Amino acid sequence: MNIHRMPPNLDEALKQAFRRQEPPDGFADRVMARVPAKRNAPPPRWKREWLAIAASTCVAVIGAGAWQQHQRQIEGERAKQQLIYALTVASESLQVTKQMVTR
Amino acid sequence: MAMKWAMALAFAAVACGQQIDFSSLDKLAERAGNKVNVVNVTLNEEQLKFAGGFLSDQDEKQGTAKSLVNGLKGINVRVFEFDKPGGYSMSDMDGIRSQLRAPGWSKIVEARDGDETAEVYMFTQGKDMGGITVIAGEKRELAIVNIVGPIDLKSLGSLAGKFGIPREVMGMGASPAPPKPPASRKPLPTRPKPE
Repeated sequence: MNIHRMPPNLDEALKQAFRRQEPPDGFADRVMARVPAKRNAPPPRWKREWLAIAASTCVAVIGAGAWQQHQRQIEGERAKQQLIYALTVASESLQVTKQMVTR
Repeated sequence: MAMKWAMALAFAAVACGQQIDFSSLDKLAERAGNKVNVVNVTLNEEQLKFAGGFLSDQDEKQGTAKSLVNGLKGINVRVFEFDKPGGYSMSDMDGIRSQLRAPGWSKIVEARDGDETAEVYMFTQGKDMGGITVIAGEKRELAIVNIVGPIDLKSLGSLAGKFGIPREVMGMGASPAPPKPPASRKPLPTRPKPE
């Protein structure tokens, strides 16, 4: 079992691996060129305002649509009940007439 | 301009004959001393289609109602419930009956039993049925129904007593309940003689 045995010249190998090395020429410039110019700067005020307006408009439009749909449902149910009432009165008037005729 | 067109169309519909103008009945509700509950349902073709869209095909009764409404151009219903007998007289119906003497209309049933009266008029165009009007009255209640368009009377008759009628949807809110449909009137008490 020689798993835990230290390899020979380990110190030397590590020194080689971690030795100080200068970056190639222009490395720093190339990195900085890839970084967005104002990465950490907040968006301009007009942009924030327009985003807020757009978000509010979206919420308002969606809300209005939902409300309209709800109102339509209420009106439809009401119209349906009126129709059922009208048909019931018509039907029962005919039934009364039929009963009177056959009496 | 739009108002003129609407009036012209309304006049045309009335002039066609199937639609009956119920305005002559307004005086019943306004007459001094009358305490009356009035239910007024007026649905034109567009409203019928809209309302029909909310009827379920899954429910047998609603399915029947839906098929009945197909092809109809209007339904007008007035129901009056008076607090005491004699709230109306037969002459109050003259305005309605005069319209039902127009060409196309014919009285197919007239029945009287004590205070209870019923008249059924049918509108025909050639061989086609174009509408029906029913006047059913007893001493405290009066119901007038005008259906514009072809309707299957057998199917219509089969709907009697099948639906519950929530009063709040009739626009009466917390006020007294709408009159019961005529079939619920069992006793036939006396009514003043027709004038």
